[in-house]
Amino acid sequence: MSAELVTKSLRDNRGSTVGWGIALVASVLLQLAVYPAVRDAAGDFEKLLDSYPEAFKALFNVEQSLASGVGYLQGEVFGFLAPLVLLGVAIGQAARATAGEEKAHTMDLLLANPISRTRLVLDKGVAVLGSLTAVTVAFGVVLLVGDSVAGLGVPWPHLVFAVLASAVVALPFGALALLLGALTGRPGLAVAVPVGLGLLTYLLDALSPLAGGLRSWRVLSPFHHAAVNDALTGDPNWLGLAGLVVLTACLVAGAAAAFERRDIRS
Amino acid sequence: MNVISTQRLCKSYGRTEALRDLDLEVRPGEVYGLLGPNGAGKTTTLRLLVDVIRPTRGGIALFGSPMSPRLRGRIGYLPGDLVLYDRLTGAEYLGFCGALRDRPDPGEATRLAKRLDLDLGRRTDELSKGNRQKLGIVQAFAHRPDLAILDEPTSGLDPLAQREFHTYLREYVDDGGTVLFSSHVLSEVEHVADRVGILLDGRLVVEDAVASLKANAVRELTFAFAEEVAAATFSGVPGVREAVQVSGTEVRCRVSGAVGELVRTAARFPLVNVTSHEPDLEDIFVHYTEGLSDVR
Repeated sequence: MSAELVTKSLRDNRGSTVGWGIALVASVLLQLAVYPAVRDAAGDFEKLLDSYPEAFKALFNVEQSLASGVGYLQGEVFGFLAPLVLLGVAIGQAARATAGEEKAHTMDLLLANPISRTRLVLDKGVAVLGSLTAVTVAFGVVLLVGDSVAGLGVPWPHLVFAVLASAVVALPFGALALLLGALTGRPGLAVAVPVGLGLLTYLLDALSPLAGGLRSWRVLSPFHHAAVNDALTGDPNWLGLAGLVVLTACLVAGAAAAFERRDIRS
Repeated sequence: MNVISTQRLCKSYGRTEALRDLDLEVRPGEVYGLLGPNGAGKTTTLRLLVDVIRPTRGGIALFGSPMSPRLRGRIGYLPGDLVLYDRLTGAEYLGFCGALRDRPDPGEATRLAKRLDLDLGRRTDELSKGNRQKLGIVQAFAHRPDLAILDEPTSGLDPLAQREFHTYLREYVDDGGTVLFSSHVLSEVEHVADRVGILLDGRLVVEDAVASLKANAVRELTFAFAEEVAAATFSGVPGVREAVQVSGTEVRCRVSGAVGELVRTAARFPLVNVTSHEPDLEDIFVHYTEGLSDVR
């Protein structure tokens, strides 16, 4: 590993990391700040929610009562906000990792240095992982503090499990962006495909309880294997998470292999 | 052992053949100039050599071995389409490259930057095109490579910087370095290169020492006589390609190779004056370009 290359990539992505991090932390703080009011008005909310179609509730991850801390976090934080930001960090930065340099025409000079292309891809991947870790840690810390301040009553290990699962589900999407960027040198494409697949597999997982036909397809969704809701109730799907990590490793290996063979865009 | 050696190197993009059967040999301690018009395959050749693109067919050996990360440490490269990280100063940029190369000593870079009058404290996006090019040159030589591969190195440089760079290049070669550079500026190649290869349409159409290229080149001799002499007199003389009547007493001949026979023929008449136009590479270049289009 080249510390210099990882450091430079982290620095290049600093804006994106800080921006996404602030967006996530601020949104979580806002959600936690209004939690006491929601809990107190829970009765009215429940009535309102009962009138919503099941599909709508499934879409926004409203499984349990919003009055409970777990239900609130599932619906308001882990349902949509966390995956949006964590996938955003992973996909956005991984797509630019090699393809961004190619598009900017800085890759020729970078490759003139005595580093192998495989190492370059891996180092860039490590940098993305570093950014994702930073945002995840900030997210986790805010949740842990907010949990005790707002009185959500969710045990801290469960919060850690859920935050971890939310980060792990972003990994294969980031790795896919890295692979597509390495394969094509086109950052736009490397963003668009994982974002599209992210939406599709999110919906697949969210809506499958409602539509029997979708249920058998559910195994295709990384969100299903990450099982963030279960993690939040203290029952993380370790095997599923390990599977996502393995999938990520395969995609990154594919990215390195693809980049080794390619002509750099001129 | 040659520093650069390619065997029947080919590169195609779809159906377009950018480079065809290139056999290039660059010897230790020489400056080799790759000359050709835009789109002739110069940049393709250099990018193949530094391994940012891969050959369709054929082989490349640098210092007798295929390209490897370790070998890259011995090579300095200046791309034709030079883009530098814009948020870094020159010194930071060189520091980054130095760290990747495990050569943190900025001595050579600082010296060369000073010679080229380049301020390393400024951010690259604040530099003019010429100054960015200087930084590109500096990074190519900063780690004291054994081989420098430079794509249009003087593009954008002012004449003063060009001259300083050419002087540096000579010193670099005298110190044991080897240079392969491309250019479409004929005078530059003529001035700096020991040997020249001319690429046209992806083919190396000629390769020779600059001196012998010039010796074999078509040159122009104009004879002024004291009386009228017909141009036709010279048409059959060996080496003469064309004889034109400038005026009654003046004949201009284009001749390739040795001019002895022509001069002897002219001396049979009352010769007043001879003017000779030294061929430069432009003439040679045009000569081969014409030759190629004749073949088509």
